[in-house]
Amino acid sequence: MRIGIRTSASTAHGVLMDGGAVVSAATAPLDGSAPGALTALTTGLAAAASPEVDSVTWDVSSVLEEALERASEGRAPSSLVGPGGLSLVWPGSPVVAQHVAAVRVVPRSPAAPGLGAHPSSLVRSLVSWRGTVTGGHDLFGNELAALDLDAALRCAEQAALAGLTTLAITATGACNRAIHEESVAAWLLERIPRLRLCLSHESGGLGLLEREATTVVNAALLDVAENVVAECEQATSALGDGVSCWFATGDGGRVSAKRLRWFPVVGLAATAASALIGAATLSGSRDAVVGLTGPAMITVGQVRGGLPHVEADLPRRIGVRMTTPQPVLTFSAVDPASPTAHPLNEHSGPTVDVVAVLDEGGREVADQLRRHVHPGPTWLRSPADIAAVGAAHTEASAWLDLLIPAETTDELDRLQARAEQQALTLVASNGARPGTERVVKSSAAAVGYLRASLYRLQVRATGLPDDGPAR
Amino acid sequence: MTATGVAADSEAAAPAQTISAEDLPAMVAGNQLLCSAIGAAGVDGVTVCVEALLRRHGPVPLVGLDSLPDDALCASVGAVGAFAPLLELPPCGDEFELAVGALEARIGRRLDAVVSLNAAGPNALFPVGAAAALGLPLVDCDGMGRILPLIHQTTYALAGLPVTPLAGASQTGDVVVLDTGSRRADALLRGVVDASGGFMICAMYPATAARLREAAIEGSTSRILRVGGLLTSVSGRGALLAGLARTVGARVLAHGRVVEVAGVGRTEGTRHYPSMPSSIVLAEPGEAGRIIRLEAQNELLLALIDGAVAAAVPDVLCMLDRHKLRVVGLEGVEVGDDVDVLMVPAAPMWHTEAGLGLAGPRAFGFPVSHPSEGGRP
Repeated sequence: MRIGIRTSASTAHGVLMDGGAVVSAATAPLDGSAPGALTALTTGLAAAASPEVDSVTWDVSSVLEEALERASEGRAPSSLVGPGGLSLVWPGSPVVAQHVAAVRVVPRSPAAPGLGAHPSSLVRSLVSWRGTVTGGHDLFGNELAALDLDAALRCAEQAALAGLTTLAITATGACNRAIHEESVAAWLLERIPRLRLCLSHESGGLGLLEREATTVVNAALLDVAENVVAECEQATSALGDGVSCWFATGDGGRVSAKRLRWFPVVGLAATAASALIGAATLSGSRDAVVGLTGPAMITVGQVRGGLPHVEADLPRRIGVRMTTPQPVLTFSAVDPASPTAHPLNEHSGPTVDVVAVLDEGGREVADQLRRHVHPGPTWLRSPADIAAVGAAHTEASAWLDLLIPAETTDELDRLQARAEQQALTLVASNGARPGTERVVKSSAAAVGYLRASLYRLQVRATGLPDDGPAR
Repeated sequence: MTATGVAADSEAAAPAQTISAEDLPAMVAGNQLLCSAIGAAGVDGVTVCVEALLRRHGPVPLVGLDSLPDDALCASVGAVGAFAPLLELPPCGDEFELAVGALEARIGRRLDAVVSLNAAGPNALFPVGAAAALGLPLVDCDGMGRILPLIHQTTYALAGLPVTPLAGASQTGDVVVLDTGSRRADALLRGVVDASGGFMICAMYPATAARLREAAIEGSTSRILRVGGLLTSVSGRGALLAGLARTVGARVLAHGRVVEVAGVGRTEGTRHYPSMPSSIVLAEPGEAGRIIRLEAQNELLLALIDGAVAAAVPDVLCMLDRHKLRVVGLEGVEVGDDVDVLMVPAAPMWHTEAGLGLAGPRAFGFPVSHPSEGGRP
């Protein structure tokens, strides 16, 4: 049996699943009024488990997004430990993302102030210090400028003077050749070992600004993730050593605690992805268009082959475009005064196969729609939180997004096969049962308007979980 | 927009006077309607660059060709290359000065004004940045009225203006100057662009205002601002379509749901090798609904309704999401999208025999006539 738990700053919704069936569900307040609420939630759910619980998968995306929103509002980062060693943060207190330094590795510095800025206000609010280092490659892997390691060291020293020891480093062309990012990291860590460095090629994807946003957000969430993961691990460990602890991701997969600690950005948007999986699980549909209702909004997404349809580079709810994948969603406001003109109407909006309640207040909207939508989709009425259901059913996953030059189809085949193998290895390291790893998407799209052959490779892989001991 | 302002639906408004950083959201929205569905997702780095230049140097005067003396020297500014390198390395901001400076050095004369190569997509914004950086006015005209893939597919070339001398500058600071015939310029330039990383800001078509009056599509930039004003302010579909009809002559060819998005790529097992979508099929609602097929080669080029050519390049084709009232790009179109298919007529120069020969459907390999040719092969 598996437990899925969806958390926010103030609430945790949990469900115990036996295959595709809900065994029990529970909700716990996390406002600090009940110390040990997470542990009480897991142990309470596990009490109904027979046989024993294999795994607990946590959807912590709301906690991460709220931490980013608080940072963008200018609130000071949380201190992880207060006087006397007491935890000051989640659950019980709101968490705030950390401020970081951002370093771009590009051939030339911007010609004027403002030209090196990031368009996202969230990213600007998270970056307290910004610097430029000469270097970078073009998309074909050619070096555009020699790497200036001394400048990188000066950047790190100046950032440290500003009290920042977490650096987000983004080199142009790193989606193809990461050597400049890796060289900067090695150079800096040798000289300033206390630094924490996040490198943009670790997230991959096309676009300096998109990759920088991903890297900055990831770096800003490191401390928050450390706190949240530790709490989730503790609540999971209360069920015994044999119960593994996982974290749902925005691509509809799940990663280990170790992975989320170092790469928390993948945990964003996990609620929508998990909810789509949950709707597919409870409806028995592996391919469906799913409508998720909230108090004033219907969110529509797709499940294909049991997995949410995801893409990279989509604008986020938090107001930034990032390279990590998230579900492709359509949002439609619900007008309570005009229920017949709702967005699920056959003639005015997307048709859906399954409707499920996502948020509090969504049940009334679903009931209202049910009276007016024809032909009728499958209406899910479950006492369990749909995202918690989906979190319990996530599989180990991996997503690679690379730019590669290839002159011949043989070369493209060889490079694509290498990328697929890399994705499968990642799936295995993310906890898939050996032998179950599989590639579910592997596309090589030619980049337009270029004479030379350049391809954008996107590989998505999953595997059946190995609910063994926690990693 | 200062001085006169641009109301959301004021196609009869006086010509714009200046473009400031506050006008960029409208420019970004407006240029997407005319980019034939390529790059509609936007290029944030371009906006950051142009906004910074406008804030640093102040608003750019937007002037008509008629306001310039006959001998005023202008050059077209635009980017040549691919979107991907631009995404990966936004401009530094001095590429405009580098490119224009090299062109001025080659021809031995300073420019008096900047014109647009094509006021659509990112190239709607770059000339604004160039004018700001150079302290020059931007002339309210362009040579395409849309996006076309070759630098000699312009009304400038149709009117006999030479593309070269041409100067280009990369984000790395590489500068090249080309002197060659118009037809060879694109081929030579592409090699340089690829070697420099896949993208260059170029200054080309140096010409006097007198010659440009016979060659340019006038009002291109202010048109984008008006379209952007509509797209960013009008909330109703009917009002938006009516506004676009009055502003740019946009006509709804059909509306329907996307039922197929096909690429020219191949699929082997789980592997897929797509290009940008090359065919999009839509079905009108109802049992008697027509089938609309859109053909693309990077941009949308052809619209067939029940097998007959309904619209073709050089007229602009685009898809507008009927619910979100946003332009749908080829990068983001999905099966199930509910869209209006719009056609924005090209400038009259493009509908001449020479214009259709240079940028009509046959120039892209489609063995069909443009609707304006009346069945003439």
